Amino acid sequence: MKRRAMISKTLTHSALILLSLLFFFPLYWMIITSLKPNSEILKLPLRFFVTNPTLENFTRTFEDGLFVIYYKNNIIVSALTTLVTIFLATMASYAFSRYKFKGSGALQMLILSTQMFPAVVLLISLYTMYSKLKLLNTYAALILACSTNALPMSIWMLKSFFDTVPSSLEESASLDGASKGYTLVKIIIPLVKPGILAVGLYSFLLSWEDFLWGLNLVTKIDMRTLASGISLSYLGESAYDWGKAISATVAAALPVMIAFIFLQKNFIAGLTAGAVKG
Amino acid sequence: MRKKRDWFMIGLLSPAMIMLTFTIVIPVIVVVMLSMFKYSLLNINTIKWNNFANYTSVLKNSLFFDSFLRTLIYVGSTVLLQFAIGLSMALLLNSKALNRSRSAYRTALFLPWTVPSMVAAVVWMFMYQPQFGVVNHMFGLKDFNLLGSTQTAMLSVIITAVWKQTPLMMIMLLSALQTVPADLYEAASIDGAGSFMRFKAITIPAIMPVIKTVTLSSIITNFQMFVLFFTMTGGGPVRATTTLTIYTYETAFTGYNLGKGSAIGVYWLAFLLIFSILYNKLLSTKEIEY
Repeated sequence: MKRRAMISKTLTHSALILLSLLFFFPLYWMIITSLKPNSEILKLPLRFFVTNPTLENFTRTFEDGLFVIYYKNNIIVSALTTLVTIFLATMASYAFSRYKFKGSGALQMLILSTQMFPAVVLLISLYTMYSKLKLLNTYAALILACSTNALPMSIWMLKSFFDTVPSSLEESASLDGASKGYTLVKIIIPLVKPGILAVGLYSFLLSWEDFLWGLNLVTKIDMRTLASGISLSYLGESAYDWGKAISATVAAALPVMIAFIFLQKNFIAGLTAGAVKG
Repeated sequence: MRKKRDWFMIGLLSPAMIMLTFTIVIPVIVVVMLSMFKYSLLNINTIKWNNFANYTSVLKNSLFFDSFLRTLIYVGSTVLLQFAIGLSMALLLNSKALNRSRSAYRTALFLPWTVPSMVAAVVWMFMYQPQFGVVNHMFGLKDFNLLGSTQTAMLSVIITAVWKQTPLMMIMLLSALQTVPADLYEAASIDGAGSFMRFKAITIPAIMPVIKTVTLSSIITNFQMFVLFFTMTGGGPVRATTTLTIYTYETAFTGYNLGKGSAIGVYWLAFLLIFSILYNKLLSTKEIEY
């Protein structure tokens, strides 16, 4: 019996080590490539370690000025999308959690099912509408589109957090003469902070990753965000400048990776909230 | 007694509803309307009724069916692979044999998901690079262009999607596995159930609701996958990776035909509607309560 447990332990570990290597390797490759001198990036035999790391690629990427603009735009869009989503989702999910009205369930399902609508199809009409409303090439266009992507899941996730707060809290607050708004802001919201953090992370990630809206709802180069900017500036020609492209992607990916490593618990709790009821 | 209208509730709900109306409800109506007119991106101010010509012209062309089929192939293989790998990872991570090492494995396995899809696309394009790509090097493919060959382009994109998305599936399934009460397994063991039997009769039914949610959401995400195809292959070579999203995008924006693009969109919405009804019917019978 003990022998069997040993064998199964060894097998589990070896399988996990193999899988971890497979899944981690592309990231490792991306990071060491970004640290190689440009002359070594496309050179045989391939080198799996960096012997003389350099930041040359990063300096080149940041020096052309465009990348900094894309980065700044991405931060603005993602931050504001996160705020808008948290604000709207908190109010709506609280209402869905506390008020039982006719059609509430159907309305929630309808909101969630909007996730299914192909963004590329919505883009056709959004593009037409925005161009009539003179919204193309504005942050508002991107923030509206990104918040729309994030909102349905956010409402669903946050509702499951509000559902765990007993409604007796509101009842006693109301007996003490507190207004509904005061009770929500001062008593209930502090209790669902983990949920709000989760929704914040979710909507930030989603807008950080946006490509379709950034590619089409803005056309001016100084309004581009990271994904569309990288695609149009570094992948345009047939002979790619891989040093620039890879260092740009490392710079785009790193903040989220670092945030994940530090906030791992919140991340996972937030992601799985709603889908998995413990 | 009739309840007074609750203005507080209406106030809470309306901002979200107003936004979704503006960004989803109206656009869907607009798409349906546009699909019935001759409407070009080059001439955005003139719009002409064309007697469902958009709808018939979509069906006349085999391109629509071909890209639909390719989408199904892409979605089907990506979701199946993700589910198989994600579930295996989750089961391994949930194993009692691990103690402190669990979180280290989990971090390494989860990191690909935190990377934006555009980054995943660029990294894999670099690894698939014909002369100096690490994939070609490791598998001895010489200077074979994986993304440039009709036989391997789709597979290469699928691998990228699986790499990027499987971690999410894994983490969802892992937390579902952790909610399965341990005494169920003990009871089954006492009754003489082997490990495969326990897996089939306890684990799968217990995590079925989560399986349903994660696979459906992966189907939805991948059905409209844009960034990987647009960046890595642009739909090529020779249409080998032109999925419905790329086809719609090309028709509406590269081909300037917003009307026809909308008609494709309407067919698409109709399909999704039928699909989601069937999906719910199909999987809803297999759940248990404990």
